[in-house]
Amino acid sequence: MRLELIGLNHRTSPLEVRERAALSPAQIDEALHDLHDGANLEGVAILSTCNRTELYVSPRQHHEPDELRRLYCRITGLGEADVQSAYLLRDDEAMRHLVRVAAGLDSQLLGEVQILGQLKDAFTRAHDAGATNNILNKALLRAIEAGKDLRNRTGISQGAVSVASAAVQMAQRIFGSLEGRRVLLVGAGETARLAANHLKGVGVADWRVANRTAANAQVVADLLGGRVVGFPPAAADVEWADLVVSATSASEPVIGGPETLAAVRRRKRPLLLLDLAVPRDIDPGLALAGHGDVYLYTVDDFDELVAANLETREREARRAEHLAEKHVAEFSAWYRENRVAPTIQQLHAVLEELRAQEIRRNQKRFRPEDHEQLEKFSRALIRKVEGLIATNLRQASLEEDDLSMASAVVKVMAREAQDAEVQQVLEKLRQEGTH
Amino acid sequence: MDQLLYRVLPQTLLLLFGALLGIWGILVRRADLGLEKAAVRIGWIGAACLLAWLVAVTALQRQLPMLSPGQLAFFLGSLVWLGQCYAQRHVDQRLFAVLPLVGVAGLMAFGLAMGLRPGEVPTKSLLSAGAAVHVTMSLAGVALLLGCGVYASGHVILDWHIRRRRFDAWFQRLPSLGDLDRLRRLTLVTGWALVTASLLSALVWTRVRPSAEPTVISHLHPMVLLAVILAVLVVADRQRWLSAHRLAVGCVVMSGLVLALLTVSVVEIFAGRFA
Repeated sequence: MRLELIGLNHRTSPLEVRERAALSPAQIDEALHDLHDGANLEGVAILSTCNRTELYVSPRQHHEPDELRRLYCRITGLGEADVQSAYLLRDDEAMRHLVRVAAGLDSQLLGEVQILGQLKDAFTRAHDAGATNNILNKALLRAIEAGKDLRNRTGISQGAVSVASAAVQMAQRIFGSLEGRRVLLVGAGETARLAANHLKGVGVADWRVANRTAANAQVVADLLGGRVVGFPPAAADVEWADLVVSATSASEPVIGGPETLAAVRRRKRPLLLLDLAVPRDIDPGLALAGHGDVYLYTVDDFDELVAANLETREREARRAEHLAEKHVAEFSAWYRENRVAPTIQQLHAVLEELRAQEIRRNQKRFRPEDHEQLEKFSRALIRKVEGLIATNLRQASLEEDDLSMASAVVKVMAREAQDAEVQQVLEKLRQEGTH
Repeated sequence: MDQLLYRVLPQTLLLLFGALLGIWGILVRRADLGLEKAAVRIGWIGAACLLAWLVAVTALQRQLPMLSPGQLAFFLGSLVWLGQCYAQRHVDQRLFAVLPLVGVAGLMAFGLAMGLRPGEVPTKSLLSAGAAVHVTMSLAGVALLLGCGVYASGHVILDWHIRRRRFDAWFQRLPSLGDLDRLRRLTLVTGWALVTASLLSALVWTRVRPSAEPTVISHLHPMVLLAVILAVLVVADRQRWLSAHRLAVGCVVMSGLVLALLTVSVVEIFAGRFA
């Protein structure tokens, strides 16, 4: 197989090296252009994220490790000492790594989903620059497909792994869809904004914002499309909401007191109170009030939820690794079958030319009304012969790793032994045979 | 044809639903979207096959499959699954199918074990159109109310997990409290409507064919009681007299009562005391 990879990631290199290795989109375009002109490279793609910079190449001949390191240094500007810890993988190993990256199995945060988008961008960029060949196209597309498949078929990306997203997960466990739910956001700091962004992302549209500094509350309310209410929030605001998210730096609870307690008791719908502040913002007594449908969660509870979700992801990762192997094996099978594709194309061209010649030569022996039948018959005959040979060539390549039959077919079908096209196909087969 | 409708097709259906139960059993323990989609598709195919079986058997014996305890069990199993398909169209999370499937497979296995052939029909009353209307509505109501009990159980379990911070498979896999509440309400109201209609149809039927049999009376009283309990639950739900959690507990108890009533009624009917 002609697939190679060299890269650095969070496991092999410190942040300082990764920062220097990271490439901007413009630098990637430049590097793709630069490398693709190289004599030994048929395809190039570069994946650069905050945690990894990887160079995928499809060479005519496999590189020596030092050659590949030099290529990597050339595009990233790193010194040779920096890339001594880089991983160099080829063929099935490279494909396995690519699939694991796509599925988030190689990510710092197991199962994270951003990497799939980043890989798609890397593919699109390389493809649009004309830097990929059919092997890289297939490998990258296969990996993207595998990334989706593994996420769909296992739980590696399920469950929240940050406090803000855990808060959303908890809200979804209670309400189901959050569309149409009313949220009272208390606080306008980073934690409150983060939680609000997550909630907005899942469809919450009805907001009230309360903050000690009204101007900050207004900024957040404008961002969310909500309205500002007084601080601390009135009992009526708590009664109005389905979900209260509080993250202020107040030293005393800001949501509580007899009026709020009475308001919660008046409510006849579920109420979720998310207290993301330390010290706590919400009087724990509220959880015991009301109709029995009041749920109060604090930061500690979310830490537990995040830990449980990570544990689930790790368990699911073992299954995902197993499924990843299937994708690697299928790519490998495709590759081995595909090695004889130029031979089959050559065969098709020769047979088609012979057929056309013979039709032209013998056409007048047939009545004009039979010409269409003659055309159909000759095409069907050629298709049968071609299909039979192609099947056997593919089988020999796939099952016995034997390309001698393909070489023989090319030679047998050659009209002139020195034909440039024939020589090209034979050269390709020779290269494949040596890999 | 007898062999096909009373043995081969029911056995095939039991196998199909057994396999479906196995798939959902796997899905409870691990996520697999592809498998889940396949299971949903098989579930719909199962529902279509059950409907076809109901139509064919009804055509063959000129009455719905209610002429023996085995037939009743199979009929109820079919209705439970059709009710499940109906209720689950209203919720995205489809993993809550295991309990209904246990019920469907159990009822089918019981039906097959008891024998599906009508044999000697126990009573002429069961051959009338009035009986068909009453029994069908009654069983459909029972199926939905049992489903209501299942959703309410889910609500109780998830609520317990949420309150006690147990973030295990139950917490991850059950539908949300909101969805379970919606399904519970839907099945409760529909079940109540069907049971009430069934009761009214029974009153009309007994007027047309008067019977002083004690079984009819003993069957009628608990049915009236059930309809009253259901009506109270429906009103409590609409007026929000109780919390969602307490309503769920009430529905679990109610579905237990429904199951007990159903068992008593079937035993009474087929013990031969029904005129």
